[in-house]
Amino acid sequence: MSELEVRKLNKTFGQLHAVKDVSFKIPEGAIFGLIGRNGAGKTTTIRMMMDIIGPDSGEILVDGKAVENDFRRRISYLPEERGLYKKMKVMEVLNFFMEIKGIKPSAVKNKALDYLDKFQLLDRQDAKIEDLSKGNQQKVQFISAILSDPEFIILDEPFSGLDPVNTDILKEIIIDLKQQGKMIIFSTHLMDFADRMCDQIALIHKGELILNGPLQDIKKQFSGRNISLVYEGDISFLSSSPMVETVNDYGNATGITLYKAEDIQKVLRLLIERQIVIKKFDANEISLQEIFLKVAGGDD
Amino acid sequence: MINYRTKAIIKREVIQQIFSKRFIFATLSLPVFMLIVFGLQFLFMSFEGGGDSLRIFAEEQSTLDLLRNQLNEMENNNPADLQLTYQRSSKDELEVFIEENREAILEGNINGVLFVPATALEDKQVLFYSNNAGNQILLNRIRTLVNNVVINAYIDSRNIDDEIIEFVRMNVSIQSLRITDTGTAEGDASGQQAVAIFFNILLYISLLMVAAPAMAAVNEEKVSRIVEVFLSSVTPSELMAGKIVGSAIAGFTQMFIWLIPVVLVASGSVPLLLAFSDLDIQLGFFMLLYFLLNYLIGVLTFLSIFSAFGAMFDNPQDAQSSMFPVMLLIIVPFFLAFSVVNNPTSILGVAGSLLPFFSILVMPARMVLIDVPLWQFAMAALINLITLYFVVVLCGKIYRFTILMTGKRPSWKEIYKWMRYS
Repeated sequence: MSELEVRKLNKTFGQLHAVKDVSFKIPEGAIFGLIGRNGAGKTTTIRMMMDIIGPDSGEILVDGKAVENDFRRRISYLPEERGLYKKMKVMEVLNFFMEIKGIKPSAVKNKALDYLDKFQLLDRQDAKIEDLSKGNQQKVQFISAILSDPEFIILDEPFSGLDPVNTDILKEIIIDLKQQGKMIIFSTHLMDFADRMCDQIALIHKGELILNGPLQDIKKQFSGRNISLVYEGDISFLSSSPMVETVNDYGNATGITLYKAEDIQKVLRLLIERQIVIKKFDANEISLQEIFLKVAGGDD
Repeated sequence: MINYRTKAIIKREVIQQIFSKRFIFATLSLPVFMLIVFGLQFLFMSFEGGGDSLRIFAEEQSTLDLLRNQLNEMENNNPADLQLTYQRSSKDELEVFIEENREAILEGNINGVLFVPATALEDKQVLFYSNNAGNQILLNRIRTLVNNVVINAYIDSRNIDDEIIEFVRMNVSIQSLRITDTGTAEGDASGQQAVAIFFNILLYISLLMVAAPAMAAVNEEKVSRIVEVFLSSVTPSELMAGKIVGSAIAGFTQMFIWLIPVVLVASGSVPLLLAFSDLDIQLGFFMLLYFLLNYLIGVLTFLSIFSAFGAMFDNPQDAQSSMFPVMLLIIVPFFLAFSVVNNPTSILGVAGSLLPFFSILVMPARMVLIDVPLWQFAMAALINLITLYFVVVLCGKIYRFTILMTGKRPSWKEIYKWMRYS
């Protein structure tokens, strides 16, 4: 197993500095979330990691050494925009993707059938891609990305377009891959998934890396002044309280950020005085969504 | 460059193209289509002017008899389904006949009335009445014949020696002899001209049929984002090379199949259709080899250009509409090659067969018509290879730079910039 490092990557397109000095390390066996708003520079960073485009400066290292041409054999990529040859059959597509990875299709046939079975596609192995639903096409593409047994798997919005049942199947497979020691890199807008699945994150905003590290450490860093509250009642009075910086209210659950950590007890007392039914009050909890909104939201 | 990744792409391209319905249909239908076109032309020619009703009048019985003999002989040798009636009459009687049959002539029941007066032996003036004075097909059929009849009648009336008559009536025959490196070959150029035209049409059709779908396929891969999946496993250069080589192999296979009937005909293994049985076709091994290698270089060149265009644009419409200047690189040489068929030794022909892009279509047309000097073959091949090299380098740059680029339609200035900086 290996450690992947992105070191001081820079990329400009004309006047646009799309990626500025981005550096992060991904330890072996980690699920890593690369998050950011649309146009933040995530895809450009991924493309440079995949050697699809070259950086203006900086490098990609595996175990401290610059990646070589055979890196393409060790890495797989599921792009956000799905694309498969519509006229090819499911097994033909999987065989073709194995051939361009230098793997004989016969060597992975059983594994391919196993994955098709897991995704309930076994009976569609001879179907043309154009005859599959969008969700099923996505599953075929996911299988094609992991069938070559890559060490590094980059998944760009892997859950978009999947129904809850298939989302669960995919999650299970991703966790299984993690347990096998694969390095999985997510690029996503869905903070909920990233929050629950990632060990580490890097948040890119306007081409710059503004957060990087283990998710729990980042949460600790932000949760000191934060309260996660599940409640019943009207908490609109909090917005005008001089102790409260922001309230992200979803009706019966909210994230509250205070100006000072010492005011947490005062806020609890205030809620009780106002007869709010408190179902959960967690002074050390902050969602990734809230962190994201704090650091990357607002300034367009 | 050709590693296992490129080989996988080549394999896929070849299989997908060769086993596609479009490829099989085009490969089988083109020779059949060309035979049908030539066959129909022959058929139409043989039916021209058929079913006409013609009344022949002459003032002299001897002239009338000669006309009957000649026209009957023509009908026997080359039937045109003419309904012919003969009658000796004076000019006055003819006018009465026309007056009485005016309606039949106007309705087309009688297509023409030919009158040969006795004075025709002095001034060669004959009269032809018809509701359609411009019926050239009918007039052409009988003009030479009537002329011969008038001449014969005139000669008969002058008691001239038969030997002199026979010589006068004999047409000059021009025998076409072609000077070649190995000697003087007897032969009719029309067979070689047919091959030159056939080669030219094959190259034109094949280059467009192979390169245009390749452009559409590259563009579709870009639009549908398949290319992004690919590029995680292969480099842009490997992808482009795989697609181009795969398409070139498919095109080459098709061209090879198309050439088989030509080779069989040239070798005498298969007799030509009835209409072309007189054509003398000579095709040497070197000619075929040069034709195929020239095609291979040509198809690689145009595949590179068309693929780069497919990569540049975000949608097929923009790619198609910007293709016109590149299409001219095939269309203009195609028409130049046609003119070269009539005069393969002209300056235009020589220049065309040595110019980049033009040479791919013009040289094959020239080489079957004349013995092209060896240095011209070598020069043309070298020019084509150098052109291919620069096209591959430039188009490779454009492809690599633009295949993942989305947004507004690029201007020619931007394309030039990409070529310089990428």
